[in-house]
Amino acid sequence: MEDREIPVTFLNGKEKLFGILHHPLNTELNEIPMIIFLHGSAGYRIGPHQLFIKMARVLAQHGYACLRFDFRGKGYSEGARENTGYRSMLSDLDTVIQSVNSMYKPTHIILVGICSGARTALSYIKNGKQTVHSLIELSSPLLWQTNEVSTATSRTKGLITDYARKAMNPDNWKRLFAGEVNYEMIGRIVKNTLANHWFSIKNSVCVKKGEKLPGKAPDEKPFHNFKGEVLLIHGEKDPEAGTAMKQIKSLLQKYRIGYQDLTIKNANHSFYSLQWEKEIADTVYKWIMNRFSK
Amino acid sequence: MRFNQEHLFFESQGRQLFAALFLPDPEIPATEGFVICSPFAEEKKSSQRMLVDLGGTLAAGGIPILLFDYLACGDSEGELKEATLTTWIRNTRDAINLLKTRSTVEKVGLIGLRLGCYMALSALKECENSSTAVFIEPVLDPGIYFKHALRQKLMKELITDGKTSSRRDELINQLAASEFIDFDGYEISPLFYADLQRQEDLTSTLKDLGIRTLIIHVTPTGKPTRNFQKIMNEASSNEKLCLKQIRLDPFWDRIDNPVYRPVIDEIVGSGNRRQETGDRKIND
Repeated sequence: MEDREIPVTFLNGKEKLFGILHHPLNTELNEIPMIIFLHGSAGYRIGPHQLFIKMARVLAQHGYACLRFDFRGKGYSEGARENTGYRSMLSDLDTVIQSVNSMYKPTHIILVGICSGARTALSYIKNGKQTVHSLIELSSPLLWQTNEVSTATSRTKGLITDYARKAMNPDNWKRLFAGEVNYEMIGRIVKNTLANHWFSIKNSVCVKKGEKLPGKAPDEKPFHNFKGEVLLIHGEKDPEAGTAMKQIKSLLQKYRIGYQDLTIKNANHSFYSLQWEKEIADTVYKWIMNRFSK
Repeated sequence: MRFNQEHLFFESQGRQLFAALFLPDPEIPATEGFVICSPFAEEKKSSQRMLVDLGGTLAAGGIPILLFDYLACGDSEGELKEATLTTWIRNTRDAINLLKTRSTVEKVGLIGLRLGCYMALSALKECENSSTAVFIEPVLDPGIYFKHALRQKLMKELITDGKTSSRRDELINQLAASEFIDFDGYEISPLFYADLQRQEDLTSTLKDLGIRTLIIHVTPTGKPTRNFQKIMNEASSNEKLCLKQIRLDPFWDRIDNPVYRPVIDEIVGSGNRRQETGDRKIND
């Protein structure tokens, strides 16, 4: 291994959070930045198609410490899966950052989150108690519900119905199956794909219309403890990307937080392709190395 | 019963693999433990929590468990382009030895989910003192599985994009011509494919399997799939095999917090039924 990969645990209340720390060889952790990866609600610390592991190992080779951890109820962390949600993820992130600062004292904290992990990170940099120096958000779902969101959701439902209709085109299936048509398999895959899509849409709006993001410290300004810029990365074919990006940018603009955004052409929500993965990884590495030299 | 969960890296075939040991109270020595064999790719990601919960539930019942990641999977060392099924079968054998050295067990059984069943069954063939096996929605013919997986990938593209990026035979031809292919972010190498092609279909070996085995079929319709009917045909004549059907959505293929508890309950229940007869093995 190019780095030491060390199982670590943190305690949030009475429940243990599990993670893997990537410690670059021949380096003291208090001399380098720490990148903390935040998975989405559908996964665990490795990320979709092991994206987080691949990124963490490359960053560690370049001398950056990385931590990939499981939110409560996921992976090896304790807690009931059913209780994992927005508030528990925020609480876990605060615990991890506090623990990292206390145990390792890195020079900077950088967050990389995907899907609900990204939304958690966005909430944290707005209201969190610990200092964060940069955020890279991948495919964050919507931050709040608006009429526009309802329209987008309806539009997405319509799109899925449309796709299902296209998918039912017998010519397409003939091409795929060239002979014997396995209706049982078709039905199973259509059902699973649509169910997963619908979960993504439902999961994208977790606060009610008009409700403010919880956890706001009454005496502190928003983004009080955020000292850097945000990199937004979304896939062009992610149904919620357009609206989510708009919301995030409006929030950042309101509080004059610097940001850059990147839309990956043709990419879906979790960037399921080596080409998209490479584009994300190259962008993220450049972002970090340009801002946080060791 | 309390149990301790320990995370470690262990050496297998010269590389470092990640594993979690679920060890019950050492005051009560166990004679039998289990190694859990994970599925492949995103099925592993989606089912990870189920396997962790399974390990914890069995350990709480006094059974030592090892859950590990194959080479290039999960937190283990390596890149997928250097991995093969043959390597993963060897990793499984090394995991069995690790559990024996780290616990009091003399016998190690295997629990597999999906393609993990293939590694489990292959490892069992050369394992002394194997006791019991549990196969959840088993994949026993890797060649057919891979072809179906490619087709599934293309079907998902069709549903979401309205078109496919390629054709299945084109992807297979690329592999046969020593080119890598992109399987939804997983780099499948010609080495992996060639090794896959050499693996035999183990379905027919079920009829002669000499250890007590629980085979669980997860079906959303309540009816056996075509693939499972093939397994049923081979398994039905073997009295050591117990086939159970559970009506559930395929939790290894879903992201929406799918239900999987009935599968864990069935496995534990089978073990409890054995315990009532004075034997701590898991089976019916």
